[in-house]
Amino acid sequence: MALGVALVVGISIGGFLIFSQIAASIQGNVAAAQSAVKNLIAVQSTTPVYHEQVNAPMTEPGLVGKIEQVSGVLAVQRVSYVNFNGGAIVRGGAPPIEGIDVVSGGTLMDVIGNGQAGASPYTIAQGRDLQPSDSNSAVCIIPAGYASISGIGLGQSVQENGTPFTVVGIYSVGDTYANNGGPTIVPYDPALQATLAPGPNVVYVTAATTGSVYTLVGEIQSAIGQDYEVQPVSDLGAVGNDINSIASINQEEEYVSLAVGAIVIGLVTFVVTAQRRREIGLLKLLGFTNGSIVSQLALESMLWSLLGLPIALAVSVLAGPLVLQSVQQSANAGGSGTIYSGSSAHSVSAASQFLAATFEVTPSTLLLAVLVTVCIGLVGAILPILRAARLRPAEAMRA
Amino acid sequence: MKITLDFIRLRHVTKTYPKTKETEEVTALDNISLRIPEGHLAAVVGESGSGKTTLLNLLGGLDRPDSGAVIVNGEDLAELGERELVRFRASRVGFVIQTYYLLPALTAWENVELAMEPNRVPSSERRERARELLKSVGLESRLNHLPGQLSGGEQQRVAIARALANRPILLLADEPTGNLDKKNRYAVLELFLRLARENKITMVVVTHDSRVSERCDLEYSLKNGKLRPTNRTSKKLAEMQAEASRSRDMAAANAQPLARPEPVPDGYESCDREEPTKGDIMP
Ligand SMILES: Nc1ncnc2c1ncn2[C@@H]1O[C@H](COP(=O)(O)OP(=O)(O)OP(=O)(O)O)[C@@H](O)[C@H]1O
Ligand SMILES: [Mg+2]
Repeated sequence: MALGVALVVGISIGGFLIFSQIAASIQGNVAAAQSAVKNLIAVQSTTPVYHEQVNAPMTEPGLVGKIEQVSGVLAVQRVSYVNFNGGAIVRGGAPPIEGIDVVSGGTLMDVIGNGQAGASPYTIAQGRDLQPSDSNSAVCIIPAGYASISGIGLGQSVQENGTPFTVVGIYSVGDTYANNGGPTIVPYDPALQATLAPGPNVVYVTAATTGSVYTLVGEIQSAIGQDYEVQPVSDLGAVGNDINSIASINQEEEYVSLAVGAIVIGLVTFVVTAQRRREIGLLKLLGFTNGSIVSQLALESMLWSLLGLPIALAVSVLAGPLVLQSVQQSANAGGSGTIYSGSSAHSVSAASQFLAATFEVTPSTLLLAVLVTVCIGLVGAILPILRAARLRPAEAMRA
Repeated sequence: MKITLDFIRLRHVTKTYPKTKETEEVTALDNISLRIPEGHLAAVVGESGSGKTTLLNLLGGLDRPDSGAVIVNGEDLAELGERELVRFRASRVGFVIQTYYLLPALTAWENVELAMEPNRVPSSERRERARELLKSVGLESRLNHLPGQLSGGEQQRVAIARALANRPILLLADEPTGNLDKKNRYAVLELFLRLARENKITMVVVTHDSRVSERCDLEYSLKNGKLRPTNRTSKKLAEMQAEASRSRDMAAANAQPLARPEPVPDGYESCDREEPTKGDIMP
C-alpha cells in the first residue's frame, strides 16, 4: 500500500517537475526578451522600394545614417529578409523562407542564409566565429549538419546567390534540424551586395534610456519623414502577443500539471486513509488517545508521500528530455512570430527559441515539489483520520 | 478473601440504534440489569443479533448507553469524560473482539506489544511480556509471523494474548473460542478460568457454545434485548449475597457498638477489594 502511494505520488510530482522546469526556462527567456524589447524602436518603410529577391519593403540607402544623427540613439541595427526562392540555398528539406538576420555584435555582424531556424544561439564547433573586422570580407560560418552532409570544410567556399563566401567556422545549435537547415552566417554588407538589395527591411533603434522612447520616436519621425513608420517595438501587437501567448500557454501547462498532481495525490491518500477506519477503531479500543492516533497516522501518510520523491526525480529525469523535445516540436510547428531584442539583437522565429536546449531540475523546484507533496499528502489524509477518530470506537471498528 | 459482589453492575440499561435513512430503529438492549462479582467468569449466550456485542461495547466503554448506569469497579462509565474513558480502556480492560482484528503489517509479537504502548510500558518490558503471553497461548513458535501467515485460530489466540497485555481487571471477549478446535477451545477456557481465580480478573465471554457457557461461573442469556440469568446463576448470586450479608453482620457485631450499620442500597454489598496481584498474571 505504501509503495502504491509512493508510486502515484512519484508520477504526479514527476509530471509537475517536468512542466514546471520547462515553464521556468520559457519564462526566464521571455522575461529577458520582454525587457530587452522595452527600449527598442522599429522603423519600416511605408512607401517601399521593392526588390525582386526581397520579400518585404526595403528602405533607402542612407536611412541608417540619418537615424544615427538623432540624439538619444544608442545603437542602430539593420535587418533584411531576402528571398532566395530562385534557388541558391534551399537545403535540408527546409521550406523556402530565407533571410538576412542580425545575429550579434550590434554593429557589423549580420546573417544571410535560408533562415529556417532563425538565429538560435550557436556554439562554434570548428574554426572561429565572425568578428567585427570581418565586416567587409566575403567570409561565413556554416551549420555543422550542412557541413557534414555537403562535405564542405574550413577554407572552402559556399555560393550564396552567386557570390562565393569562404568558410571560416562551423557552428552547431541544439537540435539536428537546425544543424542541417541553419543559415549561412555572413557579415551584413557583403550580404547586401550579394542580394543587390538597397537597404534593410527594418531598422531597429535602441534608445539610450527606456523613459525617452516615445520622445525619440517623434524625433526620428521628423528626421526621416513620413515615408517611414516609426514605432516602439513593445507596441507592435504581434510581438507582444507572441511573447505573452508563449508565456501563458506554458504557464497553464505547469499549473494544470500541478493541479492534476495535487488532486491525484490528495485522492489517493484520502482513499487509502479512509480504508484505515478499522485500524483507527482498534487503536482507540486499545486506549490510544485521539491526538496520538491523528499525529501518528498523519506523519505516516506524509512519509509515504515522501517515498514518492525519488520516483518523481527518476520520472522527471527520464521523461523530461522527451517532453521538452515534443514541446519544442509543437512550438516549431506553431511557428510564432519574430522578435528582435536589444543591443545583442537576436532573431527568434519560433517558440522553441525560448526553450532551454537541455532539461534540468533545479533545487528550488525540487523543494517546491517536496513541500507540495508533503502538504497534499497531509491534507488528503487528515480528513478521513479526523473523521474516524471522532467516532466512538464501537462505530469505527464496524467493518 | 473479600471480593466485590457488584464488580460489574448494569442498572436499567437501554441502548437503541436510531432510525436512519437506510435502517429501522433497533432496540438492541431493552432495560437490562446485570451483576457480576469480581473474579468471576460470566458467559452471555444469545442468538445472532440479540445484542451481545452491543452489551460488551457498553461494558468496555466503547459506546455509551441511552439510559441507565454501567458501573465497573465502582465507576459509572456513563459519567466518565472522554479522556477518562480512554484511560479506562487503556489500563483496565482487555478486549477480544469478535473479528479479532490484528494489524496486518505487524507480527504477532508486535501486535501484542502495541496494546502496551498507550500505557507507556518500557519497550524491553513490552517485548518480554508479549513473548510470555504468546507462549501461554501456545504460540511461542509463531512470534514473528504476520497475521496473514497465521491460521484463524492462531490469530484468535494472538488477540487473546493482546487482550491480556495490560493486566486488565476486566476482560471482555466476543466469541473467543469460535474458531478454535476442541483442544484449543478448552485450553483457552481453562486459561480464562485460572485467570479469573488466581488473578481476580472479571470476565464476560460471549459464546454460542453451550459446552463453554456451562463451564463458566455465571450464565446469562440475551433474547430480544432482554437479559436473563439462568436458574443456576440466580441461585448462585443469591447465595453469594446471603454469604456477604452474613459476614457483614459478623463484622458489625465485632465492631465497636457505636458503629451503626448504614442501610445498604439494593445490590451494593461491599467495596473492599484487594489490589490485583502485581505479579505475573499468567499461569
Ligand atoms: N451501528 C448500528 N446501527 C444500527 N443497528 C445496529 C448497529 N449495531 C448493531 N445493530 C443492530 O443491533 C442488534 C444487535 O447487534 P449486536 O452486534 O449487538 O448483535 P450480536 O448479538 O453481537 O450478534 P452476533 O452474534 O451476530 O455477533 C442487531 O440487530 C443489529 O442489526
Ligand atoms: Mg456480535
